[in-house]
Amino acid sequence: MAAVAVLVALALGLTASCHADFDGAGREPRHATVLPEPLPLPAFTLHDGQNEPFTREHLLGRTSLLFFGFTHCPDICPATLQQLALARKQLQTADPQPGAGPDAWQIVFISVDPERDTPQKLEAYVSHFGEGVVGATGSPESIREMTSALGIWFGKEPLSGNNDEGDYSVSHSSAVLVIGEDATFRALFSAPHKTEYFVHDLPLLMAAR
Amino acid sequence: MRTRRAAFVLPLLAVLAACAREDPPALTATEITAYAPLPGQPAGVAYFSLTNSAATAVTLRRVTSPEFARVEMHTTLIDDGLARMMALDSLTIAERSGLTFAPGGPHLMLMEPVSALSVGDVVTLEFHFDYDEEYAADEQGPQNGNGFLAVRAPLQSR
Repeated sequence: MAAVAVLVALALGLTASCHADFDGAGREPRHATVLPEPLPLPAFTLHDGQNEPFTREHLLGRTSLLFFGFTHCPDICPATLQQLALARKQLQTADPQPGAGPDAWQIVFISVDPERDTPQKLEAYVSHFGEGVVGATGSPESIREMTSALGIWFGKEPLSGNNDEGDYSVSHSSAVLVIGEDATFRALFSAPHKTEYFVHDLPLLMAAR
Repeated sequence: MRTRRAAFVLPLLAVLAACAREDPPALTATEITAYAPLPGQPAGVAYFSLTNSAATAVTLRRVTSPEFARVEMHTTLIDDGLARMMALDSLTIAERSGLTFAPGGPHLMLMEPVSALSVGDVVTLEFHFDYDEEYAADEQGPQNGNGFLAVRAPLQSR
């Protein structure tokens, strides 16, 4: 039911709520789509790059940016993580503003390709993007428990081309989800992503928490 | 009569000569960015801009590299928020036009390095094009009318 609500909300475009005046000073998110009401995340159990449990509780206490992808993805996944990491760095070094603290938010990369993305590979991959980036994955069932509630889709697909080694790709939602410090789904950035979109909107989204 | 004919023929010859003197069209690759494979990953990726200044369309058939056993052209399609990767057999660049390989769109997959590669190592990208047959047969055809263009770029870290 929650997933249906998310999908309906996205389909409607959320135009009105997207232009909410968040900080009372006339500044508002320009790029993110804001949900009319925060949507609590369901309970889920994944594991992180250390093979330790990664649950809903790990999202409490600070804002999280969730991106779903896979490490064999050469294009949009590393590009998005790079943009997010750069945005995080820029906000950390910017003038003090809401949400700019180094621990104010984390980037969570959830692999939807557990077949290839072992915890060890996932850890090596996310470490490349610097501090504050967490990798998590789990069984296909446990991933779907989480993603279906958020309107996130993924699916394995054969990769055409000059390969005969059973290579495959994974199609996946390209949005970056903004999860509040109370582990509620609050807003999302749709692709194409740009660093400056995150830099502009994130402090405003976090100030509205 | 002879003068009148010359008055007609000479400008025509001048036009033809000007056409023949036209700078040979060329294919160029610029803004080349080649990323080394990320830790634990089998493939790097490359982005660039191709310009076709020829008066005919060209088709990019394949890209090779001495440093990689496999180079594939792929594109990322984002449709209704869903990102999907597709292999590309070829890409056509219209006459006097360009094509950009960029994140979120067409990209080169640099796969199976033939030896260990590190950031800073220079790699070569070899573009193989096809021209329209008639155009390729023209002696005034493109500079790189053999349909081959090679560029070199250092591997970067993301």
